[in-house]
Amino acid sequence: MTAGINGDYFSMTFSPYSGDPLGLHIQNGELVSLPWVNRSALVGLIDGRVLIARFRFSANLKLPDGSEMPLDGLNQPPPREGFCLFTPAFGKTTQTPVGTTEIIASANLPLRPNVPLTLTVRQVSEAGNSLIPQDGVVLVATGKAASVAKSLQPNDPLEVLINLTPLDASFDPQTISWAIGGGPRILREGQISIECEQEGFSLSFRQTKHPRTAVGLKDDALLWVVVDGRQPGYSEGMTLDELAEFLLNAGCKDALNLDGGGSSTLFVRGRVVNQPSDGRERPIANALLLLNLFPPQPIVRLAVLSPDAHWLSGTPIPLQVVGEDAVYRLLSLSPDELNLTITPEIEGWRWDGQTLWLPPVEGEEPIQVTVTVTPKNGSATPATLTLCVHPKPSILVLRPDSITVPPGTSVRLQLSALGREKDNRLSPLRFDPNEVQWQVEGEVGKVVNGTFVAAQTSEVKQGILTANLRGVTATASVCVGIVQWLTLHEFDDMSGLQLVGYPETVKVEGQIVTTEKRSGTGALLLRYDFSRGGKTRTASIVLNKPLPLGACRLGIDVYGDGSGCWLRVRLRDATGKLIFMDLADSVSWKNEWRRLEINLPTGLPEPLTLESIYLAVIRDEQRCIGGVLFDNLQVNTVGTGQ
Amino acid sequence: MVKVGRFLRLAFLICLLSFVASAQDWQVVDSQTIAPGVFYQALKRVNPPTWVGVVRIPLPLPKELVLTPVLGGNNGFGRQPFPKLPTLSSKAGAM
Repeated sequence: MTAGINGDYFSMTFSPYSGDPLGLHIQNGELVSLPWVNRSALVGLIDGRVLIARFRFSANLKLPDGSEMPLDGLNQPPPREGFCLFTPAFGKTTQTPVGTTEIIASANLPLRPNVPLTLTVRQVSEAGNSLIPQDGVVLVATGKAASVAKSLQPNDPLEVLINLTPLDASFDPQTISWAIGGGPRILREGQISIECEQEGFSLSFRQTKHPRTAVGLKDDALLWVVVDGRQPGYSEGMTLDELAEFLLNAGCKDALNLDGGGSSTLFVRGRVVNQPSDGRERPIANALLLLNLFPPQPIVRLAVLSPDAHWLSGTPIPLQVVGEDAVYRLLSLSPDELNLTITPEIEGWRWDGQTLWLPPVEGEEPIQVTVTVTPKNGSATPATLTLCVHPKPSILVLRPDSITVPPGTSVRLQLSALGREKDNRLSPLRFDPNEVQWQVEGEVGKVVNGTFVAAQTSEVKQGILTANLRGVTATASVCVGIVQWLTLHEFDDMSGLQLVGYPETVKVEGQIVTTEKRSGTGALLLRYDFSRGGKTRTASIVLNKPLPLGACRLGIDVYGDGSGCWLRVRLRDATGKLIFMDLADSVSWKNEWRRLEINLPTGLPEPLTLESIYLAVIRDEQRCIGGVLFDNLQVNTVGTGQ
Repeated sequence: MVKVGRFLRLAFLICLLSFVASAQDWQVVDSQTIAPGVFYQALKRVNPPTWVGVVRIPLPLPKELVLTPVLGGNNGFGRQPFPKLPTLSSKAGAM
């Protein structure tokens, strides 16, 4: 594999269907996964064209008597009612529960779009979790479809036809060689066109900076773009508009966003070259690869690989030397086969084949170190790599620079070092975090492995946190302690409240009830109807309430309905950045009050605004209707001691 | 082929640098030709801190270079990190 990027969104549940790509997946012409409603896919045709398209699809099953029934799924969790087709691409078995009715049939595989798949029934089983034959398929039948399945006999003929119709491109779906789903489309015909609404993505998904993966089409090239994010000081990520602008500036006319967040991964010649935001590579459901099938050739040149060009001197520098053949395939080499030199000569340097150690550089200015590698034998072209080594950082940045927390709270610290180049430009430097010296003034807490741990105290404590890297410092002010709860809303009336359902098909109603309350004279009853609408549905109490400075904890009393809905809050900091936090991952309690409290994020530009509290469902099968009571919304502030 | 590769790399660098110069102070921190006509570049900017990796793949592709999606499972659906993804080079060769 020469290179690869992560692909479609996928199921990350603990069910047997974890790893199910949500949208279209066609591989070697074989239809493996159906399009997700209205979402775009990147498509490769057998004539070599690559394009972005959305599809409408129809899927039908023809029975022996010539009648037709809808096919409700392909290689995915079976619906409660209907037929779902499983092909060998899914795996060994259907993963259905014991007692599920399943038709096991031979078939003229592979399954291709717009081409009938002829089946011959071998057996109708009620054991569940049937083996999917390599030369056939399994049709899982649930609800009324199960009785239809039970009426079938061995050797009965069936036919499956899945028709794809491109909505915004003109081509024959039978000519699709491969396709991979994603969304939303962000460029169309040379214009920024963020098609979130059409493809079922929220506004916050568009407007929040995230790690992103995207593909862009130019007249003569396909671009893969991976943006790292959620890592302050290193890379914050991009909004969809920023990503679209980047691709437009790079000359793309059409572009499609793919799965992002912790899934965003770029793999180049044997290694992950980006820094995935989970801190490690996330296993993904599908990927788009570029394969180099040129025949192997002898090594013609050497290559020096290092993850960065800018380093704080004395930091171990990962440095690998490989051979490259004429078609840029990398081949490993033993350090014994190589001569490695550095210019200028620095006394005490060494290289063990994997890591280069340079001794600390004297003076104030950065130096350019050129690494040259030549082969001891053979005619491969030598390689050079220039590293910029700084004796110390020019600037140290500590985030957050203001910490206001309750006692005992932990805050992850992000320290980045910037070095000034000879042209006065600042570059992020790589350094060894173990070299940082932390100092805490005031009895506010301590730093353990790059995390600030607030002291246990009953008083308000103030202090200063200082990071020192080779004499360059960065500080953060710290305040620890709890002063009091301030009431934000008593829910004794509807003043300042607005109720909103998303999408519009979600009905939301609110009223103040006095019979069941936690404090004051009433509580807000939020009634919601999630029976209609797409996969993601929300019922929001919009408050748009600025929080006092120093707000560190939010609390609310909630009378549950046992619905299992997700309960969250939406906040915005002073720069307009959105923050989503969970009050409860499931409203599992019923007919009783619970006090829910969460710590607010620290170090954000204040004041924070509490925009809304909302119930959400994100799974298709969650079609609940219910009502939840809210009372006594409060915020906890840490005082300044004045 | 090597000369063609170098020419294409130079052309790509010129195009990219003009783009970089016009756009928000991006610095090229890594640049590699990774297959004939295929280039990888890593870009960084300080404010706001952002890292971007770009791979440019020529279209139409020569027949020896193949784009293909793969599933995460080694035996059907599932989830895998890149080093464990099935590369399907034999199948791709048969396309």
